[in-house]
Amino acid sequence: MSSSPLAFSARSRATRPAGGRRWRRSAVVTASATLVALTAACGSAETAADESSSSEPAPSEETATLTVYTDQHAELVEGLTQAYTEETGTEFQIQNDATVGQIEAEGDASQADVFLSEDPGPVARLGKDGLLSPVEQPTLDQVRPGLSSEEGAWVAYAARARVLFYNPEEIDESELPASLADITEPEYAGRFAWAPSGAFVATTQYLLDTIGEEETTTFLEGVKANGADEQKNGNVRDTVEAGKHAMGLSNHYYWWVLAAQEGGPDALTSKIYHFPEEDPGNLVLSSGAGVLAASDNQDEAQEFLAWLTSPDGGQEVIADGPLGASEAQYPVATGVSSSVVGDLDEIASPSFDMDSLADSEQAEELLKTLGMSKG
Amino acid sequence: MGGGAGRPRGLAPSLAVAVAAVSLLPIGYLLVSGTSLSAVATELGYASTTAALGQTVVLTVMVCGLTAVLGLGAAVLVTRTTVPAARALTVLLTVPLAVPGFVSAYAVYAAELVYAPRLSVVTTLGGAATVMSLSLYPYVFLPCVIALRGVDPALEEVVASLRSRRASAFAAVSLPAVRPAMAAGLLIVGLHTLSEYGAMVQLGRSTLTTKIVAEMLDYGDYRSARSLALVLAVLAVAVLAGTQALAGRGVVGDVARGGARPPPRAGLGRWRWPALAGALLVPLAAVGPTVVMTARGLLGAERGSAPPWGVVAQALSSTIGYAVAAALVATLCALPVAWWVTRRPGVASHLTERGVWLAHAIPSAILALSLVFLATRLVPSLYKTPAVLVAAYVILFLPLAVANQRVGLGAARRAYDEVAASLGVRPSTAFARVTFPLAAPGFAAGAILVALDASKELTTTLMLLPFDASTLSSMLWATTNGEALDFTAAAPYAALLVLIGALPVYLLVRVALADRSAGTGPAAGQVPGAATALGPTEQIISATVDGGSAAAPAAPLRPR
Repeated sequence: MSSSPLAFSARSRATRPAGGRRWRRSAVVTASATLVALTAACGSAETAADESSSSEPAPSEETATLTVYTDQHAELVEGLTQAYTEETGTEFQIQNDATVGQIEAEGDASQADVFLSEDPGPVARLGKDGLLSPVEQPTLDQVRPGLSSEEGAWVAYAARARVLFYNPEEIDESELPASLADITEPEYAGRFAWAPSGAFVATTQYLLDTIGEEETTTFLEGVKANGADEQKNGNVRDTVEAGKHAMGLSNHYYWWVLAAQEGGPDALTSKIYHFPEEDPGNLVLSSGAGVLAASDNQDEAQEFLAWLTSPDGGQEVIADGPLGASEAQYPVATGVSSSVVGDLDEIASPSFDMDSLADSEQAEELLKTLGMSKG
Repeated sequence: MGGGAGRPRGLAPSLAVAVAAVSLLPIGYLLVSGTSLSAVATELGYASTTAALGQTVVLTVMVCGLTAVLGLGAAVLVTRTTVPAARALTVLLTVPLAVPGFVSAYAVYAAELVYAPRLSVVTTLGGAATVMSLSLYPYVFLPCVIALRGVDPALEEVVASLRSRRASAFAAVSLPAVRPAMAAGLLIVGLHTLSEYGAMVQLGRSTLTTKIVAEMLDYGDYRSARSLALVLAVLAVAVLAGTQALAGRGVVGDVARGGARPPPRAGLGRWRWPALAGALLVPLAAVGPTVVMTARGLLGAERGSAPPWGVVAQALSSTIGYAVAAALVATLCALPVAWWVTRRPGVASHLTERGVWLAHAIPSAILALSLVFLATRLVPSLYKTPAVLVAAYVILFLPLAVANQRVGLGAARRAYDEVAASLGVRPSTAFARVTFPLAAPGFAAGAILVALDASKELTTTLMLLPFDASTLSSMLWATTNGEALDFTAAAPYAALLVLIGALPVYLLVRVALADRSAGTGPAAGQVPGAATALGPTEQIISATVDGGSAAAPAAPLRPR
């Protein structure tokens, strides 16, 4: 701890603006050092945290500590990492709510070994920026085709599906649209909610890639005219459940999270609907795992990914774990299905290059122009 | 301490400039990390961005208007009428300060869905403005209470003798006297509204800040986020200028202030109790939904497992530890800035003091990211330790400490130092025996506010929190998996956050109500720019306004 203020002073001097008067420079250094020294002193009581973040790696022990950066739901990551620790003794440091921006801002100082994303976007972006090591082939082979990075930059470890929530008290199942495209029909005007989430952007990108800009624009304008923008998927679910809207475009697991909170699926009024045919409204999106190229723990990180995608490892946790921990995600290993939500093959999703979401600028641009972007 | 060693008089300015320079580092990073006017123009070309800009302005105006009415109205009621239990009412009216804005918004939203699903009021523009105003009005209320208590009744008596109605005497004397307080409160409220993220998203409002955070965290477009942050900074400067104009020159305020007698109270007669009941509706509406939803969560907990008390205790102790550390460090760092600007007011000292609040002109999601960049390069071995997190809190909330210390130091006038010096007392002794006791309430108020805001902070906390550590607000956030606060799992954390916030709130009210004697005295003392004889809370206000300090923004939520 004692060397830290010195390091800071040295850096301050090196980066001072040219032409600064001497007293000013020395004052900056002094105050900076004082600020850091004071805060360091205040923080030194937190010894556990200090030890865990020491910049000098501990002498190699039998098991390394893996640092996981993730924007996935905290409970799911906690469930997975705890199960791995029990099996192998490998300990974890976890940065929840992590972003690509944080890893980039950390630069060389980043301790991240593994990134676990919620949506394909962030991990695809890391891969595109060359920040990931290729995933080992046996690991990729454990997972159903079409869900991981085509170049093998990252591997899918879970998946979610786009769905339509509906409230049977407001609309009969027989009246539901047969396809996502139908939701812009006059009969559904004012009857559904949507949210400009990452998955909505992904759907837009998929439509742009398949039906082109003109038709996508027409469809989005129809959604805007017919539906209510509820900003967040959680709000879509809650408003449909409350009967404020008859239907809502969302992701399947939001419904299951509420079911877990309310005591089970039977406690909910609303239900999940999958479009009967292969349909963009059923789009399946991967949660991806990647190993940071800058990690000093390449082998351990690859081993963790192998376990994460193995039917007896992480996939079992996702398939059979308690609802609160698994978040009702779909397992992705071949032959593994969820005891809660069933098998991913039951979802009639079109196939889709997840890496195309590394940069969904075209979709974002269109949504911005139409006034349908998030925020 | 090289710069100051040879010339004690230069020590405070040197340290003050250094403190301001450190707190400006994140802004500097924002400016050099890449944006341009053409990029800003591109962003403003999108219809949804201009709509968000318009809505930001409308919401800020609405929230400022509502908090002005609520804050001033409540302050008049507790200081100038015979409403029963005025002191207890003052405490209750301050309680909303203890509830983080995002928690109130989630609670109101959830309560509406549970109890009136088709009402759809809270997500309207007016509904959102009301929810925000109910959580922010104490920032206006407290300074107004102090200002109104300090008004010299003799002046109103003079005016009343010349005019027929008492109300007009109040309007002629007390209202102008309260203007600086009002302006200081509205500056805090305005900046909070501009930078609020979590509550705005939950309430379905699109503002510049929600756009900025969505660009960063949902779309990974950091360039757009930085461009919009510059636009937001312009709005922040506008709020600053507007409130400065509202504060006026403060001539009436100076003259009216400082009576030794308490001002008269208007008899409410049989309206005393209805007035009390009406006033109680305000804090009830502000914290009621949070209390109800938290209680509902705690009582409904049998369907889930028991709260993990070990985790709760760890989150509680680190929350308190970080907040207290931030308050202490911020108090020390603010001292040279506040001292310089009150004792040697001038262009350099005022610019330095303003530099300190600039960090508030950008949303904390961007601020946090720049702190990650800086910390990993300047103090890599401290990154992800409590030291960097506490340093971030200090940068965020320093203006609260500076503003309050200015008021405190204003009460301990420079003339006293000179008298002490003429009597041969050493400066350090004079500071310890004269200045510090007089300024202490201001120091305390600043430290309390820093601790309170640090304990509620979320965005920066999530990024800089040591691995595997947690705070009450990060644990609260972790229960938002389903994009709505799970009041069953969140209840213990929400309850504790409100409970530990109640103590500082109570202390703050004590400081505000107890301090009259420190502020009394002739109003002639000339400490330019600073209030001459203010109570400590009023400091928040007048020092804020003429010095340009701002309160820290309420903790914006991380988005999904």
